[in-house]
Amino acid sequence: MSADVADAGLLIDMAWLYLKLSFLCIGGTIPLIPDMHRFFVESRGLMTTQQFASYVALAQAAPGPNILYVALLGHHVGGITGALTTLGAISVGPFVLVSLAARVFSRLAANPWRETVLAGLAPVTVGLMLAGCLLLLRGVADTWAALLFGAALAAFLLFPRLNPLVVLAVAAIVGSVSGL
Amino acid sequence: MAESPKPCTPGKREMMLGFLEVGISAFGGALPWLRRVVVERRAWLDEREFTEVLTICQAIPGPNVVNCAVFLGTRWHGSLGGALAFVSLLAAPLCVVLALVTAHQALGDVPAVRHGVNGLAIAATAYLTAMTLRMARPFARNTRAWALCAVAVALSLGAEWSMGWVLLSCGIVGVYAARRRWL
Repeated sequence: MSADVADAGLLIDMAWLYLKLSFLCIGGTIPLIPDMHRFFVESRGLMTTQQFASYVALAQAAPGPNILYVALLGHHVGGITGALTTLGAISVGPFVLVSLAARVFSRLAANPWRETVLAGLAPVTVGLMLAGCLLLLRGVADTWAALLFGAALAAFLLFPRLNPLVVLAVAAIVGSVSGL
Repeated sequence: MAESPKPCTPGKREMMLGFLEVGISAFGGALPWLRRVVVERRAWLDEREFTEVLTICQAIPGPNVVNCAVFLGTRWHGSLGGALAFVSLLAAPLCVVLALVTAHQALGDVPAVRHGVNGLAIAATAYLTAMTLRMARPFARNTRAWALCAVAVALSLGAEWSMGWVLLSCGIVGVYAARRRWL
């Protein structure tokens, strides 16, 4: 993988971004998508929104926690080194906090403030996630047909009994055949 | 379900194999697989303990499944256990995903593949949207919560605030409102 001086600077910027975000990813990494999108697409021009969305999609179609799209974004910029950089950096915050929590387990479980804080943050987290979805949607669904297709799929996926993998597979086939 | 045997602490090797299994079999959301392996198949935790661990890990920043694995690893075998849990959960799926993306790069110019991946991307975005809306269910009938949600969207997309500021400003309002039982 190419790792000349310019790339090293980029890797450090990327590591710093994810290190900061790693302490903020309440409710998973999806609420961070607007910030990641700003870095990779808007301010650095490292990829298009379409590419960004396709990495999210590939990680979702593969086994394992969906967080792996973070590694793919890093891979796009710096190969294997980039993948390990972003995945490592995004894990620092959770790792430290979880290690602490595992040691003060009983006190955390009993804290009456927990429910209040979670209830207060939920609408904000959902708002940030929606912002991320809208950003991605703008990139991948550039025709009315595609937009309608996406809305129909979302409606389908609201039923939790449906295996999301089946929907992903069908969408890939429909896309491939119809030339979306 | 058969009567659950008394939960027992796994050794390091056993634990790593368990999380490896979760990592490679977890298609479309890893949480159900974590429960299946940790509670049902290997009986390292009972249902109640699993729910407790999950509740705590959901309150901590980070992906829930990874948090749970690190949490359990740390509780069983200290910091080394946490690190081992992390690596054994993520190493195999990371390799799969990197292989997929390499194949995608090689075949990206084939129109059928390109359109297929685009269809996949639309579906993935739709999936995220559906997941987000499902998360909103607890406050679905609360207008004030939706207003706060809309403000968060506007600050993030319209004003281009970074996530930390949105979380801090709207979060303070949200926690205050929840305290006053407005949410």
